[in-house]
Amino acid sequence: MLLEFRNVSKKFKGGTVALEKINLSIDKGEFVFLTGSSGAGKTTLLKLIYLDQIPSEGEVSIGDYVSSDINKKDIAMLRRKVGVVFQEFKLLADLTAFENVVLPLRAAGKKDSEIRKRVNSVLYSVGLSSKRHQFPPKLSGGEQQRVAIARAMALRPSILLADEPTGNLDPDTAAQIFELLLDINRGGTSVLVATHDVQNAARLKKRLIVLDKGRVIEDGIKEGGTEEDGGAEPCIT
Amino acid sequence: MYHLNQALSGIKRAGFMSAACVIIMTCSLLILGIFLLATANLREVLRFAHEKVEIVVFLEDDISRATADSLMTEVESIPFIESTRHVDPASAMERLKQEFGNRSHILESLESNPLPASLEITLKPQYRLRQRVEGVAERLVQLRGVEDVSYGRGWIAVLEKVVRVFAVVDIVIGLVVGIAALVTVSYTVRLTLYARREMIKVLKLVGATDFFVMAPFLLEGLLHGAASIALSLVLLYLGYSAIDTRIPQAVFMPLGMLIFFIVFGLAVAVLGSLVSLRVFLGEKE
Repeated sequence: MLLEFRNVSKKFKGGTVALEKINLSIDKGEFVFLTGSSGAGKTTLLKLIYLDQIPSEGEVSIGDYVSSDINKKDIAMLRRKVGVVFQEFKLLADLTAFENVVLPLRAAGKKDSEIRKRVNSVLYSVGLSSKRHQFPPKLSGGEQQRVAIARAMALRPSILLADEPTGNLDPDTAAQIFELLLDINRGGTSVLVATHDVQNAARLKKRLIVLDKGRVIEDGIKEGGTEEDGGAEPCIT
Repeated sequence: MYHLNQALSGIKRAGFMSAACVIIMTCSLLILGIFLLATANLREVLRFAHEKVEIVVFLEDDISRATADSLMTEVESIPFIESTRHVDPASAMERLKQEFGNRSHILESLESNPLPASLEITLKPQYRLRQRVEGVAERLVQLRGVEDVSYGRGWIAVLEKVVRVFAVVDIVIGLVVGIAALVTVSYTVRLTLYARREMIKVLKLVGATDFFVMAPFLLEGLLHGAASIALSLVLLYLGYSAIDTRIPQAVFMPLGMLIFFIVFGLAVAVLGSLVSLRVFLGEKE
């Protein structure tokens, strides 16, 4: 088991309950969609995986790390195993695509020669070799998301988390990004995508976890969903 | 190398703030440096005074040769004494005339020599301390044939007191300057941190340790500190050189004080950066 939530609840100050009694696991090499309406708890669930937040109850285990018994240094080490991409890309505008991808490798203390090799390779795999010296504001939304994915994959993580990765993209570009995520998954990396885009989730026939008001209400592979019906068929668990 | 590059680029980015930080820190260190220099020079004066400390034993007018000889033997037997010199009244008058120079004719009008015979006693260097001198003087005044003992007790005591006061002032100034410099560095680094908050967020996200995130900012503080120390030392040395032409006995900071000054400046700079980093990273947790 790569990732496991055991009775995880997350409550914020003021009593807001973001997640309640979550039990789920993700295996090595799995591709999982996480969906639900706004405020259902998707982002909080992702943040609990890369330990940007700590569960109020229960525990999350990611590889050898367990949220209930982890220090700051181990959180840094864990994040080298968990790649994260966001809807708003979170690229540094004053660094080139190449320099943005360098960051995790530099933080992990890799040597210059290895960094150069790895960054060139990962930028090639997302199709951005020719634009590696461009600054993010000069790139299209899809290209910026590819740079963000390259940065998240630079350290060859065990799992890639994507929080609404296509939220700012047009449908064609979104489809291309999903293809790229599938490619990454085919390479052996687990992928967890939080998205509103149920149609794409259904079309790809992957495991779908549906959250509602902080609880898992469905978890299984969505069968028969098409772009026409909006993927309305229930999950088979 | 990466951290140093980041620190230099941080300084470049902060531009005006970096310059302001260095100027304020330099002024703060300059104030401390001036007081340290004053203390060093007062200590030098005190050391010089101690070196020159001499006990003069005035002998009774009607002292016999035998009593004088036995007194001399007794004085020489006292430990701590380096040398004893007998000055008879005629030699004392001769010396006084030399001191009067071209006004020595005033002394010609004296009917008889009023100066007493004396013993000039020099203590061994390590015993030329006020308390020790006082002890020896008290012992000497008890001896038979001794009229009075003089050793310039008043002004040495005053000088010692002034040096002690300056040492306290140094500590107070050090504290005030330390806090001022610490706050200055802390705010400068905080501005840089704020300007680079996105970079820090991303670094934390991709697995950078706190040390990796903090290192460039600590270096930045250290560079501000080093620049301020260098500038303040150059200014202090220029000031010292100007004084040295008029008072050749003036001294610059002795090595120990110089090391303290440098370590103090660097420590304040690093601590200032650390305070901001702790606050900033703490807020981001």
